[in-house]
Amino acid sequence: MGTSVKVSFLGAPAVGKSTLIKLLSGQVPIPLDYKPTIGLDFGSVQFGEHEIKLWDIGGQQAFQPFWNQYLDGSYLIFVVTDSTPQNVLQTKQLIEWVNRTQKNARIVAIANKQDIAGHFDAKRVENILQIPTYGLTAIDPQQKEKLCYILVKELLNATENGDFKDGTDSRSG
Amino acid sequence: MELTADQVKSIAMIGFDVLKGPIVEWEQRLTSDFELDINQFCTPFYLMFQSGNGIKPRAIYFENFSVVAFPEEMNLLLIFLNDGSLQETYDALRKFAQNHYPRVANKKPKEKTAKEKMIDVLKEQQKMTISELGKYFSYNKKTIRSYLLELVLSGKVKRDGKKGRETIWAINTE
Repeated sequence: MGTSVKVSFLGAPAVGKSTLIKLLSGQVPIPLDYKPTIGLDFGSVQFGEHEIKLWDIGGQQAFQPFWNQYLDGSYLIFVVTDSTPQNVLQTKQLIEWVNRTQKNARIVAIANKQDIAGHFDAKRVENILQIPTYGLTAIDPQQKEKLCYILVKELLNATENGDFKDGTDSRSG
Repeated sequence: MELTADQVKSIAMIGFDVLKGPIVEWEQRLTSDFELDINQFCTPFYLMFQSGNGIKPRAIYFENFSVVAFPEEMNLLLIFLNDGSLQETYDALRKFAQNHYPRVANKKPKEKTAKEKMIDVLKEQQKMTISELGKYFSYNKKTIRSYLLELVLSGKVKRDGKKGRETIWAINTE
């Protein structure tokens, strides 16, 4: 029997959470127009017999009361920033909140939009956020392999003994 | 079909701010007896009608009113209506559904006993001592031992050597 695990993407509006999920799901071409996620959306990616359910959580303030419920049961939470100085500082506060509320999940950051002018590189973002951070440009389809590698590596870090248990995920917040 | 003023309680437009999310753009109340605060519920209404990329409802029936939605790109125009004769239809539908609801679906799956769960763990781990089994169950060693002995007597479990001073237990496949 295969394994099903939940991975969530959280961050401010328009930092590229949905685009990262589209990149992982192999949706090409990746749409460049901004369409906000209303509340919650889903994707999935299959690695052999393992299904990874991807939860795309809308970043707008109005959805914040729902975040905790949406995040519950995640093995891994990607906190996404657009790597601009202002957003990185906002993201630091967000990470503090996630750390307080989601104690069972592994939390890592994605410093997205490494292609835009004035961005902080991943190392600098990591120094500020104080959690493992990966630099990415989600609109570049060639970065899919890198994102898959990050996902698998961090999931192995997140699960006990680096191995999934058989059956459906029963982890709760 | 002509709508009369007493059928419509309120009309509201919910917009979407990129940072804040759903916000009430405007609202026009047509009756004084409509007490719902749209500002308080604009996010849930927006989520009900606009969430996700799958199928979306056009109307929702609540206890005292119903609401019909007209999405216009990121905006959502809502009309709140009196429930009118819907309660009657709702009651008839409930009866219909109850008559067709498969009774078997109400039966809860039987909870496994401690001994059955112990067999599952032993099948998964193959060989275990009582200390190791203790990590899976909130029983003391004496209780685990008594369950194991019962399982040995029923031929489902066997002793399978020693690990230090502890007995190793395994599923009896013979």
